[in-house]
Amino acid sequence: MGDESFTITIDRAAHGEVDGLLVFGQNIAVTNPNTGLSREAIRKLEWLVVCDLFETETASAWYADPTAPDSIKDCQTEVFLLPSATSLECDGSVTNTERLMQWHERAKKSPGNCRSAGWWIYQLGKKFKEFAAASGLERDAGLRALTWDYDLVSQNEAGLPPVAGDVDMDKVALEMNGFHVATGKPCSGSANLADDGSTACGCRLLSGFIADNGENRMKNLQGGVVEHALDPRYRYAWPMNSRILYNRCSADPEGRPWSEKKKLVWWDGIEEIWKGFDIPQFDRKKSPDYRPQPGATGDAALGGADPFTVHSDGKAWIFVPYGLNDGPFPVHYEPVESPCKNLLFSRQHTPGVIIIEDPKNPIAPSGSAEYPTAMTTYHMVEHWLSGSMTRHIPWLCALQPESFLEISPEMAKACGIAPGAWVSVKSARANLQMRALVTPRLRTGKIMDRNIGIVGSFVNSGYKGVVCDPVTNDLSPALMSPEGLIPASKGFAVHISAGSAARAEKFRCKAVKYPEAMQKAVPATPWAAQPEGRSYAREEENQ
Amino acid sequence: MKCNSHDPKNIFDLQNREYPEDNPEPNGKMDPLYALFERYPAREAVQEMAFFTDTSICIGCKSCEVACKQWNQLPVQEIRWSGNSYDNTYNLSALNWRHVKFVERFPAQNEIDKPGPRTVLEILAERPEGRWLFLSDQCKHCRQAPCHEACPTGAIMRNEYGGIYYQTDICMGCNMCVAACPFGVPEVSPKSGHSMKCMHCYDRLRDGLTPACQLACPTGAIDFGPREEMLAKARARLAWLLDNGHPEARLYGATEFEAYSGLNSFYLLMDSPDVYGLPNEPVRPLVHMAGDYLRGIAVLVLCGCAIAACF
Repeated sequence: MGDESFTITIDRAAHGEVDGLLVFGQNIAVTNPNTGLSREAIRKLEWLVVCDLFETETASAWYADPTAPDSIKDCQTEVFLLPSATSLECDGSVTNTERLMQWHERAKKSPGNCRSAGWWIYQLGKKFKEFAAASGLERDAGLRALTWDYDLVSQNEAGLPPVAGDVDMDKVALEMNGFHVATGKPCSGSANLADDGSTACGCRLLSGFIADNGENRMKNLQGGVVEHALDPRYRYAWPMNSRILYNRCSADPEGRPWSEKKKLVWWDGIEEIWKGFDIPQFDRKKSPDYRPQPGATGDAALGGADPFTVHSDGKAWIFVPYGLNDGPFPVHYEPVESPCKNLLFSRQHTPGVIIIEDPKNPIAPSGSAEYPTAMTTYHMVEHWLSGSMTRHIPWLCALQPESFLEISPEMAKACGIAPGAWVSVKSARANLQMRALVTPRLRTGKIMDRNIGIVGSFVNSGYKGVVCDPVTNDLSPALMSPEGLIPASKGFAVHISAGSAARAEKFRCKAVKYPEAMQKAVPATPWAAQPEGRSYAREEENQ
Repeated sequence: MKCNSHDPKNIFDLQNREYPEDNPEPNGKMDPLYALFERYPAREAVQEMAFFTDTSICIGCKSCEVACKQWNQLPVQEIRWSGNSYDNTYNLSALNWRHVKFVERFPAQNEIDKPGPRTVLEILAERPEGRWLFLSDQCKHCRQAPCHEACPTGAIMRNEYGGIYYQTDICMGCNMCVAACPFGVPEVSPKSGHSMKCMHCYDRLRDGLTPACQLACPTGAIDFGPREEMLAKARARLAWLLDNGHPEARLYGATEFEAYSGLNSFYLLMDSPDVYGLPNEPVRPLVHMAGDYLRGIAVLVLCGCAIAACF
């Protein structure tokens, strides 16, 4: 099977080795490293399925990409755009980086043919099972055996009419939580899971969010603990509803808090139980004095003063002793295209870095005189991710209407770029025209007698929306760290010079035009909840 | 759940601060002459409410701008990149009732040859070289408002919550309020012909809610409540900042200016007001208009004499 990581797969697709892609809620034409290569890859597919709220750059790469008119002429990809419901229009959950899992109920009927991603996947799965049943092929045995019964029977609490064929997310949630196969009862945590087939669990990290009585704790809303900022009654945080990981560290080895002001959990010697504002990640009855017997496994193998329960010895690790190819210590290496020499080590960049070898992915050598400026990419508050949703909202587009490159005053002066003028930013892979935002927030530094500057731009621009701009990631290189496979979208080398308005015009796209039906007010909806501009439409209707 | 970072328990000694006694003027005070032309008597005050905007915790996210647009269903004025930091709203206007200003206070040139700190103490003592200041601008809801005094139709009134409210259906678009406001707040809408500005979310207040911008603000920089409460919070926050390495912090509009009343939307600023584009010392226009009155009366008398001379 080999490496099926994403950047590798895109490269294989660019060489015609991938038949098709299903893309749910991701805009790979804008957010990948080296998106010029990604869009080429999309156009080499036989088929592409995109499930999203709007027609994204990915869904329209077959006709709308302004950077590759020749490639579009030869494109044979069959594209299916599945209209998706928003998170307000379906049941499901959201998990954030705070590990907080929050359930949301369907609150609104989705328009037209829009269905939730869950609906699409469920129906697709049913079709696959039909094909597998009919094919009789050995390779389809897995699909034939697949349990795929999530038909929704319960009523929606808001009283919305049921969607035919909808998926019961509560059933899916139970499988993710884990259940005892014989009884169907939920598992109450990864400690309950067995490796003998008596339990089944979709994700052991999340296990425990369904209480023993079947209550889905992601739905808990009775927040409001007054004594403390932590509130274990509000929703659920994996693992085990601990709000602060390793909260055991807030108490000393004997279980007494280090600080009264910052205490989280503490050992109550009289009741012989851990108490506190947070939930400990181990058995509450485990005394701080507990020391494991030889041969103990699982939670019993960790002593009462071992807070780091994810590690096999419960201790904090300064270095990683196994499981990684790089290490043991993190050290500094320069990004692959860095204009600067690595002064700390003889090795310039991370050993084992994975560089996609492709004529469309040329990498500038370190310290190249042709690309002497460092560039980074980031996001803007006003837009979300690739901008595929937010660039369709005029209110947000007015706040941040255009793609721009931030450069320091020294660099602007040196390259003859006036504030607001067009600037040409060229990497080994692409040459984009953007407006220059000259700002003293960015710096030019003197490194080993050379003036090296940093420029930056944001990545939420594309060719579909009320505002359209070049895709910033056309500049970034498709290369990845060896272990995490994180692409180097945030550190690469470019050449800055005065730009060309003519060239900018050449690649400019027209704004999306909405159909007449979308200019009208949404019926049965309060004034303040209308999408922008539509309440005025309603006023004109009434006159 | 918003965490309250303005914990007064952390200030060293509030009692040491000498503040002038807050003598609230009667709500709705107006120039007596102009008051004669008021269309209705001032609404019976329910409670004087005020905005307190703490720019030291503003993150420049513009949620206040979007929430205001959404609640009041204001369309976009124009989509045009300004190149002026991250501010593409330009000004308060008939359609922009909230405007987040971005002020970059950084040295113009990087001091490349400046020697770096050599000891740990030097590192700790080093102040950040520059700051990016944010200010969420809106109507100041002045306690004695020149626009209120200037309006010839009586469209401008003070509501029972102490805010200045424009009855746009009465407004005739004469622009007197635009001329009178020292903060450049109202604008006559080119589309409707009426003057518009922040309406204090009057409809929300009447239903027991707080303004949309205050609800949307994720850091709690925009606070809204009874004026006394807001003043107390502002003073507590100012005291904390002054005691914790921010001597540049100051309040703007919490108390009267030299030639202007206090504001019912006052600010905690981290630099002098003119850095933010606010007048350091706003002036009540009527103060300079004695000559206009005299000229008006003189012309009236002259005309009267001229007409009398005909008979």
